[in-house]
Amino acid sequence: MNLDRNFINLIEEAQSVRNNSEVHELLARLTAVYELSTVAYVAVNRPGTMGRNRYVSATYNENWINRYNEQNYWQLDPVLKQGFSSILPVDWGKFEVTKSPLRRFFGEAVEFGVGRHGLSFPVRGRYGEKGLLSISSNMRLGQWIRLMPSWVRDFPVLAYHIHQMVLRAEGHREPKIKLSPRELECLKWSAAGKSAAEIGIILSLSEKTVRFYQDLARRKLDAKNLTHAVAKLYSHDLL
Amino acid sequence: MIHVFGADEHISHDHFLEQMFRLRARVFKERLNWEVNVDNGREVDRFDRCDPLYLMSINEETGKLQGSLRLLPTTGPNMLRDVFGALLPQGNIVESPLIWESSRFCIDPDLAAQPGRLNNVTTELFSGVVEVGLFAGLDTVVSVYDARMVRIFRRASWAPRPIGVPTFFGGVLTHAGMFEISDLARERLGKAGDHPDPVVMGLHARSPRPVLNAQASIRK
Repeated sequence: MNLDRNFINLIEEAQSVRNNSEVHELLARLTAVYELSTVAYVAVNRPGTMGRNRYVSATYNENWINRYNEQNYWQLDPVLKQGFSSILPVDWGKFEVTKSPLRRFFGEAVEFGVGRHGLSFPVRGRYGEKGLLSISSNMRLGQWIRLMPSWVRDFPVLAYHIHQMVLRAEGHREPKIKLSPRELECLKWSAAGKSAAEIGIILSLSEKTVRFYQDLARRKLDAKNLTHAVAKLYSHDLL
Repeated sequence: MIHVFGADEHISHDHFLEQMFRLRARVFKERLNWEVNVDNGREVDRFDRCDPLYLMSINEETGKLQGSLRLLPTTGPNMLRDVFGALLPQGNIVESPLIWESSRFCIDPDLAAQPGRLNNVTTELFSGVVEVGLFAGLDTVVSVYDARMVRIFRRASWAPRPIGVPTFFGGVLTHAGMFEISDLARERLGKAGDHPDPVVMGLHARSPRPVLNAQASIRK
């Protein structure tokens, strides 16, 4: 099993994915290539959605998805809770499942075809959005643990590319000009008629630092001077 | 020992977080006079609201915080991209699932080492970064630092590979560099500071032990 070749192929394929059914196909391919039981990807706070809806694509069988929604396991699932708050990989085997709701949850998951072992890999995105790629397997525990280095080596990278793929499939476009929050702030106050010294006081920066940010913003906007940069701020609708 | 706290553990570790924000205020505002906002004696910035991972060195006998730092993935909001982007050539960014950023490194000033000596808490925290990095499958940590840190990294045998051009921010000459995450890096830090055994508490409880022992096969 030459995983390296497959790993690179999957990343290349992810880059050409254009819509949601192709996202699902890619997750199914990933499941097959790594001989897993299931692969699932969930994202929240995606840009342009105001944090309202979550994105889900999974190779779970439909009955499990229905059951999950019916029982509102979104609230209970400890993998999601930890995966969306921490940046470390989450090992499903490390949850305390002696309490009955959790034991029932994991038990049901296995009944519905989710693997007994699982790992989840958090992704943090540029716009503050978060993703979580989960894999599960029914291989023998010994083998699962032996393969742990490959999971930890490949899946943070795959998770990142799947995340970018979903943003693209959902029609998100990179803004052409990106100002950092500081650059934007310093320019906005100029637009409001403040001098660099005044802006420095407002933002508790030195005057020099303010000029520095303004100059960076000016260059990014390809403007000749500060006034020109402020004008471009409006014409590019960056405010 | 090094304790690792993610956002999911904030409530149970409120006490240590509080100590950390106060320590940061003392170090970055009072001692180093950086342009940071201190509110109620606590230094907190917008990246603390991005659910970072904190590494804290805690004295096991006294329960007191000795030093801390903060890790953020470079694929999400981070200081090098969002604050210090000017350090890199125009248009260049560091964004990789294999690279996290370390920031707000500080040590309790009362524990400061004698001049020319390396503080044990420093090497313990650096060792913790390497252990956590190996756990998460990273190969590099990037950081923004001032000249004062350059000597410390060298003494700890964890010298960064500089990237970009050192630049003045708020009167401080600021550098950026890439730090190796590897077994070898961990070994060198261990020797520089006498930490032969794992320094991070409870990392094994998060995942089977082989994760940490199988670093040799991590993709370079």
